[in-house]
Amino acid sequence: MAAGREDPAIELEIRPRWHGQWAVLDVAGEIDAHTASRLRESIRNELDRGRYQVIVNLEGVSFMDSSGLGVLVSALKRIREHDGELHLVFSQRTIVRVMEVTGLDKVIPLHPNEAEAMAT
Amino acid sequence: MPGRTTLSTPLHAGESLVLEIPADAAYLTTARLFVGAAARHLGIDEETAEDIKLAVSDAGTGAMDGQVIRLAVRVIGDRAWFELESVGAQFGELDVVAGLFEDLTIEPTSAGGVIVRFSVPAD
Repeated sequence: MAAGREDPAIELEIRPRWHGQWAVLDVAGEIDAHTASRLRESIRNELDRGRYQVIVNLEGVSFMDSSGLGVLVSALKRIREHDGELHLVFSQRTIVRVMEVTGLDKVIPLHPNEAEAMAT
Repeated sequence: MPGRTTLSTPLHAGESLVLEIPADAAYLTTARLFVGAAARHLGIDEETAEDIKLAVSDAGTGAMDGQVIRLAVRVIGDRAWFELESVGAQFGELDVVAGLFEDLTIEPTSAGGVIVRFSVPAD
């Protein structure tokens, strides 16, 4: 379950947790050029610790533009260099849209829920 | 549309909604709120409004080297035109915007900036 936004002044909230081999990042808020660096830092924290099986749960994200996609693509590149996996979990139409327009829906595995992502 | 409310006063010919923001990523949320509110005002459906917010956010992101960004919404005929003017800088990549709105136009200004425009059907 994605983290809720407890403080409306915080535009992006990211909570890491670990489930077996998976590092799971629960993301809530809006991802744009102003906030994308926080997502980049959170993913980097996991990769720097050698955790290359990563699930980014975007269920709590109400908006994401290309800035967020850039972070995810960079992460995917580094993860694949270490034979790892990056999976995204979301169902919101607004994120589906940006993934489809950029063609990234064919590059990064997308899942409607976390259980399906972990079952891959 | 059921469950939707729109303001009773539509934009008339020659009228526009305008917002100027600093070319700072911290104001992209404000830009999205502005075009989202304008879309609701004009009775534009939610899915299209989400596309508009995505386009404005992406275009605005590419204009952070400038001074200010001017956003304008105008109704011309049966279409609502969304316009972003970058003052003092070019826009970056506009691939996503072009993917969302086929009628995207890009026009340089005499001040060294650029105006991008796209439109959607208006009620």
